[in-house]
Amino acid sequence: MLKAYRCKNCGTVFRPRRLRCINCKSREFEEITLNHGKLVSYTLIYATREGYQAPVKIGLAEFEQGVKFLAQLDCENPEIGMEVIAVNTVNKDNGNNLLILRKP
Amino acid sequence: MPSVAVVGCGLTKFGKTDKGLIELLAEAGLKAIDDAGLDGIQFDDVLVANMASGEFNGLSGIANALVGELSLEPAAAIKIENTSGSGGAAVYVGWQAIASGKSEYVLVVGGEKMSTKSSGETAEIIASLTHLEERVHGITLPSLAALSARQYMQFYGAPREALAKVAVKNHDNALLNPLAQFHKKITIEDVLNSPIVCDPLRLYDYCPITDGAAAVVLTTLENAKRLTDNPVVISGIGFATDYYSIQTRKRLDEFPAVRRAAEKAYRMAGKKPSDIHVVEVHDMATILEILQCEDLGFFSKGEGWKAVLEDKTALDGELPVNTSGGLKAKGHPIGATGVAQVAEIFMQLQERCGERQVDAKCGLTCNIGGYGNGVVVTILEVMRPC
Repeated sequence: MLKAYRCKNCGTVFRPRRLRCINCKSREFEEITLNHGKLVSYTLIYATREGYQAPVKIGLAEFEQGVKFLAQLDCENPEIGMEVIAVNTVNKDNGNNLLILRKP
Repeated sequence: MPSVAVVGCGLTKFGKTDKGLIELLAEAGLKAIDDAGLDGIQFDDVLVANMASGEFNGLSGIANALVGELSLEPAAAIKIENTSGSGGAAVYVGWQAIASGKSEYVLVVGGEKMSTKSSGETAEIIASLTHLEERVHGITLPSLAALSARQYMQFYGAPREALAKVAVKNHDNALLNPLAQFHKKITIEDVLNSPIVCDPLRLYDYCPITDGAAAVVLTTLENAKRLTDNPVVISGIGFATDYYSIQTRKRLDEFPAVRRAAEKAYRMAGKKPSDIHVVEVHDMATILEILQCEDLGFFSKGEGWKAVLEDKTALDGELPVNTSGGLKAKGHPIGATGVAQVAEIFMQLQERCGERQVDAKCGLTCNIGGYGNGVVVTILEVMRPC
């Protein structure tokens, strides 16, 4: 599940987490879940870092309330504007759990 | 508050070399001291801009090493790290040291020795500057430029060729810069047929991996007038940060920190974008030159690509951009870049650029740390009567 943080003082929603609100610097937040995203941009990395297999597909998606998520993208023929969701997977490069973007 | 002047500069050849990091720093530093005619002067501060001497070279304490090599003891010696904006940050700190009245002579030297590692290892070292939640996905700095490029081209209808033309222009300029890494004319077709690095950007859209160093000497305007008939002052300087995590930003085809740093510098210098005659920007990738030229106020948002196609940013255009060849073709030894940009504008204003000389009395540099994370904009002006 993709999480974001809503400031209990001013209502601003943001992610990733930080210690103080991005808008009012207040320190108390509630977690909310983001469900529906649209692809804003994407790239296929051929010159990868050590330990990653080319091509690494990366997507940037905008979810509810304008909150964005930058993550690996698991889909063929991505298009800007297409609907995406965030799903938990096991990273093929290192075996770690990883939240990635995929078609619904 | 004393006005701060640049009175000397020095650069090594950019490219791959057998020389070590300290040797490169010392070579550039000594050239700058000689250029300023300050061989006998006791410097107050030695500021060394560098990102990753530990990772690339297994070295720490490089500012002390440089002081030792050049017999600059007992000057204060500090390494300044702001990733690829380290050079700009060091100039910023040097400016503060003089402007505060605390220091009278500051030597700023930036350098990086990168060819010690493979390209995969280099990508890993550089990616260490990214937010951990983004880094785990395998992103590289070049991949962020690719995300920006796709968003920009889609939103503003910019053709792929406009990005390629930035590389062609900067290679043309580098042909006239003896110290540049590349001396090779390229065409738009060469760019569009080069290997894909991060789709839609290709090898020739990106700066290379480079060894090199650059240095400038800063002092008060009062001292500068004694040293030269042609003093150049830092009339404006601004530093601004943006969200560390890329996904927190509103869009990727704009750099709010560039805009904010520029606003600070313009306000301080009492200048507007149309007062600037020559510019060095941080073209780690071709798209970044276009985005910065917009965010610095030279062209409207979404129009920067047209200016490139219309040759407005060429050496003989209305606003020459990256006369040195830029990061793209001069090379990008990370810590050196921000210092090298100031050195290029200094030399342009002193009419010392030979075949790539343009007509300029006021110039600007834009040095970016991270991916738009920490940006330094500097405005330099010639003080001679015009």
